Amino acid sequence: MLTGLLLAAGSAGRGLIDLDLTSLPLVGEMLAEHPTIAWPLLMLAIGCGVVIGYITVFSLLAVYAERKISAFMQSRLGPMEVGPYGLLQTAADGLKLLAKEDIIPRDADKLLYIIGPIFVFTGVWLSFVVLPYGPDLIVADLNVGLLFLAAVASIEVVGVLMAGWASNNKWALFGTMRMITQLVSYEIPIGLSFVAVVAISGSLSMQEITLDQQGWFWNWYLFRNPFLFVGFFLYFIASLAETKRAPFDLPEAESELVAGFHTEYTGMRFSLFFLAEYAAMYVVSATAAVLFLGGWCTGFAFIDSWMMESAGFQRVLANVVGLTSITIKAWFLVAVMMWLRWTLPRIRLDQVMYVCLKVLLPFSFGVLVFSTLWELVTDGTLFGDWWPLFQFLISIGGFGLLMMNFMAKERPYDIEADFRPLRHSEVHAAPDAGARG
Amino acid sequence: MGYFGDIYDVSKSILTGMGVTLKYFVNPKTITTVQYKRPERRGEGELHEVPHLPDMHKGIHYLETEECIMCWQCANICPVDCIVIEGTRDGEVEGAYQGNRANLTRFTIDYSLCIYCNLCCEACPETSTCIHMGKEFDFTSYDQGSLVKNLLTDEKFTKEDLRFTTNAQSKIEELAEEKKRKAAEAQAARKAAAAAKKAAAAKKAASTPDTPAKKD
Amino acid sequence: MSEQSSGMRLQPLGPSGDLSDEELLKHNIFITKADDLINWARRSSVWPMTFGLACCAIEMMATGASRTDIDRFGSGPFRATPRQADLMIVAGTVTHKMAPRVKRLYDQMPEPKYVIAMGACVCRGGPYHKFGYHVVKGVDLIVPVDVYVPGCPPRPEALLEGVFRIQDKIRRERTLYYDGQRRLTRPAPNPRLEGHAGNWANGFDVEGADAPKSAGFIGWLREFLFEGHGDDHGHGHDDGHGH
Repeated sequence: MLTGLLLAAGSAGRGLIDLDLTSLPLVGEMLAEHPTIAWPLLMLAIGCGVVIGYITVFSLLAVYAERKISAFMQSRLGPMEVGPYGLLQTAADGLKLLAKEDIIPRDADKLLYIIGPIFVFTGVWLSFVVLPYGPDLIVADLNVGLLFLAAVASIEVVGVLMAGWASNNKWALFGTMRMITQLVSYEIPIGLSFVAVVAISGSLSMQEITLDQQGWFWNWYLFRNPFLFVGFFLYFIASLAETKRAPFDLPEAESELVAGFHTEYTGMRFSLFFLAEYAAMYVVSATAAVLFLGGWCTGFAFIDSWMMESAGFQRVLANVVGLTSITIKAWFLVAVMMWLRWTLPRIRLDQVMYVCLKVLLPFSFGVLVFSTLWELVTDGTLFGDWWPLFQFLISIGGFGLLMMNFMAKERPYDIEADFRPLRHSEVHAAPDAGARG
Repeated sequence: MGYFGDIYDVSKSILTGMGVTLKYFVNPKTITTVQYKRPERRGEGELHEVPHLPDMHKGIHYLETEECIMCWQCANICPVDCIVIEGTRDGEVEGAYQGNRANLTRFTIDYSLCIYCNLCCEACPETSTCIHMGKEFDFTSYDQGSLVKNLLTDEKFTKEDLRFTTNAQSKIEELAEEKKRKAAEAQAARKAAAAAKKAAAAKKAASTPDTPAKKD
Repeated sequence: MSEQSSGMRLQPLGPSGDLSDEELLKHNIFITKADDLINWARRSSVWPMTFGLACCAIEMMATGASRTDIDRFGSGPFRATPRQADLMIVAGTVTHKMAPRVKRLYDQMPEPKYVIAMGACVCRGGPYHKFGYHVVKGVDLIVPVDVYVPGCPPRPEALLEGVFRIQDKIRRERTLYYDGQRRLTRPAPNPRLEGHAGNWANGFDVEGADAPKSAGFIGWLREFLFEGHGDDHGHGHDDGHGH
């Protein structure tokens, strides 16, 4: 259904399907009378509906996946009783949250309290505008798409600040402060990774970045040069912090702050935060897929060329292929995020800042400078047409060497050296102990 | 460890940890969940089935009514006074539970107090061990009143049970008084007999003054 | 707003309503089905609060752990904040010092909320019943308890049984259905609490637990459907007078 809606919206927008909206009774009249206002409004309405539907369905599936993944990693079964294999679990959760009492604390700043979650959700929701799903499936192919993405991601900070401050709760405020510290800091490595990609693609438009990675999968920016290969991991780690996922989930640290900035939120308002968190996971993963993993390109040259050349019904099919491709990539990255969450413990705030300012930041600068230099020197065609393949092999080779190093058998850890209990003579060593023998 | 060494170690340990979780994720044999069934999914007679319950598990008590001798050892030693025993050894009460020695009208344990310390079972005399801790563990209820178990019926202690117990009280008292009266009568009879004997002896002694003087 | 002017609003159902039998039947079916749906959602995701006081909390953790996986029944997410929890499992000895906090946490939870008293200490004081100068003799002196799970501590499976009891209770609830009689079931007076202020002990009557307080959207819908007379619109349900 979702795919159908997306396809219908995209195809109708490009005039691929002969969908005569003007023949509809009420809409048609409006379109005929005020074409300049009614058309954008209609497209906006369709786009909003599609994106909200997508976010909701994605979140339901992602929460279910997260609970199942966490369960299997902890030797449990996870939701089993609500629906077959617990498939309806998240639907029940959502309905229950809808039916819960809505509490606004007496001393809260009511206006900010109410619009806080809406701001957070809006920021994530707007990000979907520039994400490409296929050759024609994009709500708005802005020529500053990446900049737009970086900009709307910062709206979340404002929403969280509103929510945390307006709750009039110390835990909420602490969570907010941590959140803002973290988000603002990690914007920098993310922005630098963006810049490193943009320096190569020469465009900020998401569609053009994707199109630049057509062909075989070694054309993807991930394998463009060894430095961009590192840049992908830097971006991924920073995006973990950007979406408050473990091990960077300090804003919601249960053992310290009760639930962070949404401590006071109940029912539907809380589920807005919840939706926003999972939607943000999807956004950063899809962005990573677009920037480094070829977006909706499949990684096979013949399919990609067919996708671009097809027309008519085949074009619709090509869009389906593109949608599938980017969805698989984004889901894979989301799954890795969940995998990391249920593997790693939470780290301290000073460690979070250390990772950002002392590791990610210099490395990002290095990636930007050296990948640009690499491009300047090799000029994309050092050894003719097969140069991208060589670059791929270089990147993979470096990674492989690192992994081999990891796998290499280590010198057995000498526990005696570090944790040897002190001998009695060492503890009670008198100055003249030696003299006494 | 220098700066790069730390980064190397961190990457390595993260990957190692992810390997461990992946191993658990992909291997269904690692799942240890015992799927406890909710009531509507249980089959007939498949109540509260928990495999591998340890032998020493201390659950809800059960009573061998035949064996109980109403010695109150368990009720006396109970640290929270949750055991109530009523009944008689003097005779039969109608509707009561007849044991080998006693006639029980009430044997209840209040599970809102019981701390499963096993002291009652320890105190139960070895000659007639009657109270045991079973394997049953579920005694949930919606109100505090139904947390009392009637060990005689092996059910919750109901209002009917309470009415029966209250009614039986007068009978027990009656029996006790009857016993007392009988005992008093018996003692009186014994006393009378003793007095008569004494009197007879005195009479005898009076008639033959020589012999008892030596004996006294 | 008089009854005539509220054209769009539905009339209250029940003996005094002016609706025909057919309409009455329709509304009842709609409302019953909606009630079933809401009850299904509520009983399928009873989120407990992370709230352990003593040794029973260890068994509560064991209930969430691998062997007896409470997540199978949808109660996996232990929320740290009372604002997002549905169920308070009072696990462990409630001391007099802790009692106000327990009460406060209960008050902070949004409706509908449920309480499980887990363990002997919480039921009636347990080992501290006789000489515990510092222990509240049963958490039902502070908050209304829905289900008692005795044990010292109870097995994880016993706690699961308690959660099933809560789910059964939710199944019997009526959120939207309203038969025209104002009938908020108040808990029966607790003889243990004579002379004390808050008479909230012993929980709700199970069979008659039909009108919980208004809760968010549902509360609004109920008011919209059944209490759409502008005069007492903002009135709470608490004043048990009839129309």
